[in-house]
Amino acid sequence: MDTDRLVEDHKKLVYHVIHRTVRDRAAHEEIFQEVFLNVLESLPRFEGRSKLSTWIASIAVHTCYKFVQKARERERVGSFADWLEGRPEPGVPPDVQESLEKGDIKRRLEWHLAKLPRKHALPVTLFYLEGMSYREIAEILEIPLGTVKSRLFRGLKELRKSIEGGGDGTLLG
Amino acid sequence: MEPCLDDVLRWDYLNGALRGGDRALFEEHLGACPACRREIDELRKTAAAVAGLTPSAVPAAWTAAAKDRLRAKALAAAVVPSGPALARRRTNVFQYAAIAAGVTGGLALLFGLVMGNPVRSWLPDLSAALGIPGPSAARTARFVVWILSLHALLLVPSIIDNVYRLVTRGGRK
Repeated sequence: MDTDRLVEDHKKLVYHVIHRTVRDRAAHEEIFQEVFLNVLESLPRFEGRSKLSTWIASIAVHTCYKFVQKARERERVGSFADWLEGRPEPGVPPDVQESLEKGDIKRRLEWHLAKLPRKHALPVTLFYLEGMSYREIAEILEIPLGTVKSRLFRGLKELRKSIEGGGDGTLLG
Repeated sequence: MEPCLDDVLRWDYLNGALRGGDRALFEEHLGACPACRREIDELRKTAAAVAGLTPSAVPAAWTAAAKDRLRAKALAAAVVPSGPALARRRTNVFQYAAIAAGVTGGLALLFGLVMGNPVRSWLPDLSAALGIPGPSAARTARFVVWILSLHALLLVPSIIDNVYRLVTRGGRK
């Protein structure tokens, strides 16, 4: 198994999943390593029934879920589905928000996207940034195909609302 | 306010997946509903902005660290067991062989005892003790014991085969 290739081919996917689900930036690198170690460990059980990238994304999402569960053991995180309903926590520190330049469209859009609940942010990211199909997203998030479409639609609506609410309406032309 | 149309329908229209009569009906509704028309128009712009986002760059240090850790883990898994581990496996093989030999010997002894003189002479007494009347009943009892012993002997190859499988499966780990 070419482990270097495994990391190289899937690093952006794993990075995106972590960014959309865990807000604690200090933990991102640790989770990134953890995801790939989990992938390597589970590789003998990969049966090839789905694409490798879909399978890796699924491991990434579950690793993030377990990480948040472990980090917040005193609080109730709930089931995987409950966790997806929530927004990444803790919130972005105000100084980071202030440092975002108005002209930096990409970063501002990313920031609005990161504020969405995971159930909306993840499908939007996987669809638009990773080019995944509805079926692949459905498999990763363990939801029906129709729910993927409705979450994509709701995700765009929430994003629009956040952009307009944040006085960033010009981002959308 | 309740939306006029279903989320999935609106998503499909937004992505050009709505065709034929459904599309015509949808467009007919858009023509009569300024709110839906405005919403579709706004979401089209939002979708275009998100689709224009480029995937974030993964820090090079994260990638390098992940590659190093995966290489180390893969190497550790591939190392041939030596010293104590190998000796332990050899001990296990001898233990299993000894058990198989013991079971075989024990069953052979039982078979010999049943078929040999000591038991032939002892069975009628046993029959008497158990209240089995007459020599024909004793013969029947001897025959039953003989059949049972033969069945037990026939199990020996299966036991040895299972022990062998157990040992070789342990050897592949």
